[in-house]
Amino acid sequence: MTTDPAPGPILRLRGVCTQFPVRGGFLGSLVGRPSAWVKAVDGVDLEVQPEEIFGLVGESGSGKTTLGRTMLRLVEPAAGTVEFEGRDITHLSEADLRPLRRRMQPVFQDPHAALNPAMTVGDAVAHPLRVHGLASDRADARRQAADMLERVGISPPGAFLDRYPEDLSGGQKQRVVIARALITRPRLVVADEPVAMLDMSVRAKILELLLELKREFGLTYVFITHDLATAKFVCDRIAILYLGRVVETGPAAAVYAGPQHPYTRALLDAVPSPDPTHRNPDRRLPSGEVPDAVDPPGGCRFHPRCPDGFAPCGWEGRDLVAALEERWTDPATFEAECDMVGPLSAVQVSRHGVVFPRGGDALATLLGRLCEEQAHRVFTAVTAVERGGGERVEVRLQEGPEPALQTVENRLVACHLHGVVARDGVLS
Amino acid sequence: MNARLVRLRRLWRTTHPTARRLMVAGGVITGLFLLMAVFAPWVAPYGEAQYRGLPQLGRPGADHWFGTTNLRYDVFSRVVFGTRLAFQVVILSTAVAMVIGVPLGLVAGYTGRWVDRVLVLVMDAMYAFPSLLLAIVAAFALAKYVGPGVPAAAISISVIYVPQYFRVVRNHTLAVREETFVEAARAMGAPRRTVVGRYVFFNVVQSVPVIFTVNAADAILTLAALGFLGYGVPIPAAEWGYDISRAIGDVANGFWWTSFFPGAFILLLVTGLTLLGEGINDIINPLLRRRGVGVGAVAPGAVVVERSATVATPELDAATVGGADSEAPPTEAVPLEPTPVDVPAAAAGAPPPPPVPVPVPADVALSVRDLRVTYASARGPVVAVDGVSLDVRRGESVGLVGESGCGKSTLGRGILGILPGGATATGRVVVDGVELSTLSANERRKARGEKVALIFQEPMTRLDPLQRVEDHFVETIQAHRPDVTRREADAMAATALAAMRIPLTRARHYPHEFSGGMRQRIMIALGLVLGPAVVVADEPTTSLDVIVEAQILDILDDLRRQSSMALVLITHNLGIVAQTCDRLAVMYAGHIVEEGAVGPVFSTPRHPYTQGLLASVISLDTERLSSIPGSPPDLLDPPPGCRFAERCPFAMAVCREQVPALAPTDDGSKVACHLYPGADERHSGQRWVPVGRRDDTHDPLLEGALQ
Amino acid sequence: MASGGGSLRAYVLARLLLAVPMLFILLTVTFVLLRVAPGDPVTATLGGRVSDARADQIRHDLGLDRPLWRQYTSYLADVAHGDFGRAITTNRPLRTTIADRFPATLELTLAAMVVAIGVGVFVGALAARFRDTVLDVGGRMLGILLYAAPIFWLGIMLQLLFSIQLHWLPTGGRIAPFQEPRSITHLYLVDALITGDWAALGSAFRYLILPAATLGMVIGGIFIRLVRVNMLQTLKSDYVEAARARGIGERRVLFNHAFRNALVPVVTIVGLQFALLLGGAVLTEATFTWPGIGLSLYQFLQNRDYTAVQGLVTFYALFVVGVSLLIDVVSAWVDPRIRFQ
Repeated sequence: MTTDPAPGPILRLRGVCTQFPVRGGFLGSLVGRPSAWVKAVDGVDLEVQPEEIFGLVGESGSGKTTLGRTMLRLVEPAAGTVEFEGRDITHLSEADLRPLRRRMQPVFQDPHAALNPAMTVGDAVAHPLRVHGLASDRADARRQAADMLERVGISPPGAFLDRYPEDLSGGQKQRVVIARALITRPRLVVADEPVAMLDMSVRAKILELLLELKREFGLTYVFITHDLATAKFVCDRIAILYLGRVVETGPAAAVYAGPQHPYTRALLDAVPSPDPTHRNPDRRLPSGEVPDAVDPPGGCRFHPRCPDGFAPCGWEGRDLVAALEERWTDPATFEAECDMVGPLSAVQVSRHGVVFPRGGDALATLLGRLCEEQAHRVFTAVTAVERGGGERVEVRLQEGPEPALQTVENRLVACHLHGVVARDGVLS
Repeated sequence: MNARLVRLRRLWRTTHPTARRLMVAGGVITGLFLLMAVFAPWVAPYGEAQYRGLPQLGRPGADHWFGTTNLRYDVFSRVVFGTRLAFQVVILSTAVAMVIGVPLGLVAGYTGRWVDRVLVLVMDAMYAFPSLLLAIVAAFALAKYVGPGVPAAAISISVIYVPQYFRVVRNHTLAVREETFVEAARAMGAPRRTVVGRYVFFNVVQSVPVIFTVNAADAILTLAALGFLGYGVPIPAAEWGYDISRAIGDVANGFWWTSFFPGAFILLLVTGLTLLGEGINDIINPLLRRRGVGVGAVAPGAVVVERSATVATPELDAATVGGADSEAPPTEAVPLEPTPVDVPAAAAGAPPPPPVPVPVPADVALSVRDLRVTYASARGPVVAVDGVSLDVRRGESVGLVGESGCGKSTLGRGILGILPGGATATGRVVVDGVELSTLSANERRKARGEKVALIFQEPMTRLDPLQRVEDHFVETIQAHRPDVTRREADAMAATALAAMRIPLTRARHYPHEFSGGMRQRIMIALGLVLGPAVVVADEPTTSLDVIVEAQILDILDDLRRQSSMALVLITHNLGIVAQTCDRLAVMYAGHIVEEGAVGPVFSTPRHPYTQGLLASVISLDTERLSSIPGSPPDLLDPPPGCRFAERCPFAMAVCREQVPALAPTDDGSKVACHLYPGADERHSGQRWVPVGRRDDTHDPLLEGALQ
Repeated sequence: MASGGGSLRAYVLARLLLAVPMLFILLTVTFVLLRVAPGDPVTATLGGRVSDARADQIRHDLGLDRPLWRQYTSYLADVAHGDFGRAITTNRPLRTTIADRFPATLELTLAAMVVAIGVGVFVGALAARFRDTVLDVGGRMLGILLYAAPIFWLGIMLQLLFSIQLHWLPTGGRIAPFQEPRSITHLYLVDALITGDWAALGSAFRYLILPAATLGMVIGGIFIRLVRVNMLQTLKSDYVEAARARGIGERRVLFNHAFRNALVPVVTIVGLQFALLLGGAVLTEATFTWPGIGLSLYQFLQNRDYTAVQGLVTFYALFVVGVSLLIDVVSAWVDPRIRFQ
């Protein structure tokens, strides 16, 4: 198998979407049709250049792990294409993919789960050789495995070859996982949080090992992490993911020096600095948590939490109800206004507004006042507060397009603050 | 293979001695029965159907130990041969069930899709049907094709167990299929049959021995029931159930032995098998459970596995799931749930001298003196916290840092006196001027929540899933202030929730309706509702995303600034300490090795361990990676002298001999290191006063509720 | 709260729909095993004891001379109408047999369930609470021994002791002759209570004690294990520790948190054990000549009456599906997490 690496990116993703079914309880499982889909990855384009370290950074639910698995075709993308070494592998059969697999390997977050408890360390590391016929016989495979174990710092390898994973510490297991990934001499390694489960004093050692091995074997890494500090130290370029979308991507140095997306900025602000003389009490943290990916927010997906949100961000009816609930965390206001609105379950929300079945003039006045005061960012998008029949009050909201990635200062950013540009052509 | 045996032996030793004894008893009983079955013709004085010349309904005696029947059988010989028959049927029936059920379960679990759905539906239907009736129906239907005998009985019985093997193997396969190591096998390009064979099957078969023993016990009972109903193995074969059914008439006339002995044999053998099965389950299940599989509670007669698990595949993007791991090979020390072994009452030895009241300054909210917490592990006592003293002033925030396993969490729990069973604590804990060690168990309970609160690491599991959030508050408030009415408690709950910015519209929701960050805020609100003087937060943000972590830390920070609450923040994240704490204490292997204000300790760390920890932090400003070589010592047998000496770049001869004392430095910090003056003072404090010996987990039910 | 109720309704509906294929499978299996497999049930049942002409007549009467698929569809249709066919040996419709005898079985199983839950919950919770003490080992051993005792043998031994040796209780039957209370619910205990017939109540109770205790204790042995294991789990759960850390009283921690949560899985499993209870009821009724469906089944089995066995088994299938449906709804009602899934 001669592989004269094609020039250009080693990995290229175009419009990749990956989704998982959400089973609708009993009935769904019976009929076998999911009631909904979670789009874990939703239209991602990116390119990874040979011998660089490309960071995928995001919180839980950002889709970074799924994206990593999609790159390796461990899950099938629902749309888009995945090219490895210039070859479209999106629709290759598992049999055709098999020879390619030795050149693209994963390293997992939990080294304990990544090793078969019923296989010795030696067998685990040698198994890829046997699968790909890279060893002449058992003894050769064992010898190669021992060499690779030695290389990743498991020494003396002879003492470990016949042990089971559970006799190893977390750091040792991760070294074994790395040895198994590298024994077929891959070009691309997708490392998913390779140090997150390790004790902090071990993290540095594993990171150093990964960097050394990269130099030695000329590897390309996709480094998946939630930890911005590690990503900054390790990565050449990064992409920040939020709810399945890339919100900012570019050279790591540029992104860290001057983040252009409010989400990136928030992430950086939230990282606690180990320098007690640099406390940052004025940081503006986003509110709330990552919403449910089954039904992501419209417009910019970050808008409900964004400290800089404004009218075109794509505000929806439910944002307005959430703003009221937040307002009612003051018990006195709650007492005064809750009865006016009535049970929230009766309130109808839609993408474009809210209909309150009761509330009447009092509620309309209140909402008007909140708009004037701009009590919450959602009120910047209110276009009308109208009295309907009876006690009905209707609120209409300005529509907001989903932001497209646009070039800002040497990187791509998807945020309306840099000019309202609508994203188009997204598969839905 | 050798490593395997070592592993089983280790698991065997970690089981409770009583459980071990019971398992051995079960094994012995089963073994004796097996021997009796194999050597039946030699053991039994008569053949199974030999009756010429024997007395009719003879009483048990020297000639006929168990008496004779009205058909002149020797009861003892019958029950001995019955053993043989029972084993034949059991082995055959479970073999048949296994051969059908295991592959079906494997296929259904691994392929999923419609094959799985159809099979699950069919098997669930069969499983729901009364098993005895199923066997009867099968025997009844088979009667036309297979003459009555061992094969017919075995096949009828196997029908019951096919769904059981199927369910267990299928659910287990489903779980294993989602394991990372299976994905790793796919990623290395292993063909499907290799993945299923070497990676899935090998792990799934581990659950089979457990089901086997359980089913064997059940099969014996079913065979007897079939025999009793006339659908077992017919005469002249010796079958216990059939013999009992023949003996009903004898009972009415007072001839008890014809029915008693066959039944007693069943009772004994089934008991033996069940004990053995439970033992195997105890040993094997930890292997499975460690990977989150677990066969579920194995109940005799029914292998209970979670109802048809429809495993959706949500993205588990697990951020740092707190679970940290050291470079050291795992030891059995400090098992997650310390195995209670026979620890002598006062592990510390000498009877505690009467407490000497030492005045605590009024501005000190929490004062810990010589706290020592000992866990009982299978290999001996482990001193997880070894003579720790710490003061926290009102409104002060103290960070407690160190690698995992250094005793931070144990110290936190020791302060509250909630330790797992088998743990003992000695020393003094004074909270808000009240010495907890002098309080009665009930008063100490009341102090928890009222004076000192604990906030845990995993907010997702800390709320009772069956209780509404509001009810947690009411319960807590009324436990401490019985005269508060429900209305007032509701109002207090609302205030507490509002302070944590939880929408009041959601006070009556259940815990599972909240996100992780909200649950942690609820837990904080719950901890603070009674206004405690001290809050111990044990890694409160480790399982949360970085932004939510920052939100929670801001809340905690605001709280202690607004009130005079003292905060003990246990964390492994030094950045958090730098940002939110006034002082910090560094723990290593059960000792505090350095303590002081955050500023000086971060700018000029003195202890080499603190220096190493600070250097290994990866922050946005990191330009060079650094780590501490080696790993913390085994606390079962800690080294003499300084516990860090082994890993210390500056270690001297004295370090390996003498424990350094925590001595003050010129800037008000304290450090326990021989590099600095004062370290060679005698290690202080041998006067331990019991704080709370497990009476928190083991008391009032009997005294209170059941008498 | 309205939304909670709504999703419970949706859950019940989904669960009902799931019961349909389950019932269908059980009925089909029953039909195949008891109607198709034995070949001609009339010959199988009566053998050469009747003339060929008579046998043909019976076949025709029972519709057994039609093609199998016709028999299958009419079987399903009959079941849908509550018709369980006729017994070959007695030529009585099984519907009557069931109507006569089901109340006795129900009375026995309910009483046994009370015994089982009483024994299981009490001993199991106690064993868990005092884990690894003498109480625990004793409780566990009791659980294993009760489970390991064959029901019929335990019944016989109890008869031997309490009826034959001590003469305290009757050996079999449901009530003393001519003591039956006026029928309302057909459950003697209930009827006697409603009508205030104290003599009947006493008699029914005396007859019920031994069978109910036998069946209940054996099932109770399993409950001991279940309750113990579940309670052990909840006792070391995070929320129990959290409740203790809040200073909640130990009694409340035990009952409101540990015990309540331990019962959730138990409710589900009780549903599964109900099937076991029905199987055990057959043996108990045969041992104590308790005039329930189990005793009928026993008698029909002795007579090899295929159509009768088929009818009774069909009824059992319906009953099992109904009970499992009920149990699932109850657990959804107990555990808010299920209905919100």
